[in-house]
Amino acid sequence: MEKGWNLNLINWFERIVGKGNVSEEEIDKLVYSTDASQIKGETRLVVWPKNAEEIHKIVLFAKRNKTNLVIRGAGTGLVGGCVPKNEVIMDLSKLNKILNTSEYERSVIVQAGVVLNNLNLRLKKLKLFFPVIPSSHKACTIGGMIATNAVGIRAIKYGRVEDWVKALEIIDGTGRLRRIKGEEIKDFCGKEGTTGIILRAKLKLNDLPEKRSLDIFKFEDEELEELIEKVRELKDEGVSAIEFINAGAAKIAGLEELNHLIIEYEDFRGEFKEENEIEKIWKMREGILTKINSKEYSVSEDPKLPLDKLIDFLYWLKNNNIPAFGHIGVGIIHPHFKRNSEKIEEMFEIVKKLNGEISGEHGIGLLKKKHVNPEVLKEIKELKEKYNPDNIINGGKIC
Amino acid sequence: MLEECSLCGLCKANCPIFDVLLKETDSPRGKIFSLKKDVITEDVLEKCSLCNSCKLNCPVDIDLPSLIREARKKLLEEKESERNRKMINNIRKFGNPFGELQEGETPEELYCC
Repeated sequence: MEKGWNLNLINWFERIVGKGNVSEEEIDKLVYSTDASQIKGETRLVVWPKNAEEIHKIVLFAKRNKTNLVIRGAGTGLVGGCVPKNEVIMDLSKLNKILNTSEYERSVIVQAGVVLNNLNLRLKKLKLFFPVIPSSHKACTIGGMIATNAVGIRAIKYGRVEDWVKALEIIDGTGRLRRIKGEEIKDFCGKEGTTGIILRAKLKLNDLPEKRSLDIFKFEDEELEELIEKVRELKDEGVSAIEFINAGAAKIAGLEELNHLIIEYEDFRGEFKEENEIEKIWKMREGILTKINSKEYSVSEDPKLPLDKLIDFLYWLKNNNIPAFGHIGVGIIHPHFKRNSEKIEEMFEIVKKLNGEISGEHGIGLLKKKHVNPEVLKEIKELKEKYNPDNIINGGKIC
Repeated sequence: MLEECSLCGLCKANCPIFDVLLKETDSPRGKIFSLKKDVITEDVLEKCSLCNSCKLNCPVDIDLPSLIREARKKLLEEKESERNRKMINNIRKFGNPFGELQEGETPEELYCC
């Protein structure tokens, strides 16, 4: 066997994960250099660990050799959270086991690489589900959802991921394995992997609703006030989703060029009650992002605004012909722009003026670093000092 | 067709190849990206069962199986494929493309015609 001092980087990783689980082939480096954000990065090499022990060894090696690691789940993020800058990509897709489900406690323990849809398919038999469901649910992983503190279409009823995490097992940037409970969970939810690598999570579950139905309401551009009023009314009625599609986005999605509200009820009061009709409507809604992106509107933003300020924002979108949709029930809208559009900066200014947040769900990643709120920046720096002092995990993300 | 891909990753859902191999390069999105960049390899091209699952999941209807078929055809026109020959031999000898397998054993190499 080769002596340690004689090995290059790939040989060191091969020693940890075995041949076939590390690559510096051009095709792998290129494919892993980007994600759904379409931001171009540069990959040093790709490693696919299979368990916590290998990840532990990789982190210790990285720490000793000052090698930066970028952690990747499904790569469905929209702000470049797993885009490398000549760094090593650690893909957690092989940590994909659903370990233990407790019907009595209504909880499940899963590894980070489990795909949300696979989990919910398994839970369906037990009439349970994990209710935070982003549009990328068919592909996104639990680890990525925790790292971004994902929201999703049913946020109005079920909140965000941090409300459903009971415990975490992580490896921090010093190589220490930590079991996290209680208040400390917030140090990892939405921190985009800058505080540690999520290995497994214990998640709370909800009963799968026995009934479900949908309504679709349509509004002309002149009726945006009525649309906001409708949202206000519905919020008080305990619905499980209020989704918005503006006229510009509706046109691209192949719908009538009107503003749409899609409402989901966990009973049969809506017009659409058949499961296949409901699935068809949600499939259309979930596909809008991709359809808009493919029409050159490749920048997807996610401001969050208070309901009483939304009307001004919707008018600004309409007057500037910006296609948008989103979880209007919780104030998150996804306007779409052409890359390098001047309107993006203008939108950030408007959002700040309307007391909104720049990022409601996608996170900061590489894309929004210059817009990070100083308080958030301070918090991340303090957390990094505690968990990732050498900045070897997701070093260039958020700050 | 390739230009319309925005790398959303929804095509990865239910891909039987990605489900087993769990590498982005072997996923439908990885294949589209490497086809687009003209770096796809023979090995990756063969890791597709042409099941159409990616096509059904794609919101902009990218027909990756047809693109894979075309690329394979082009490849075979250029040179004889060692893997293809191996697969045909396996079918003749063992009645399946993967070679000799015990009950429940997972094949180490995947082939598709």
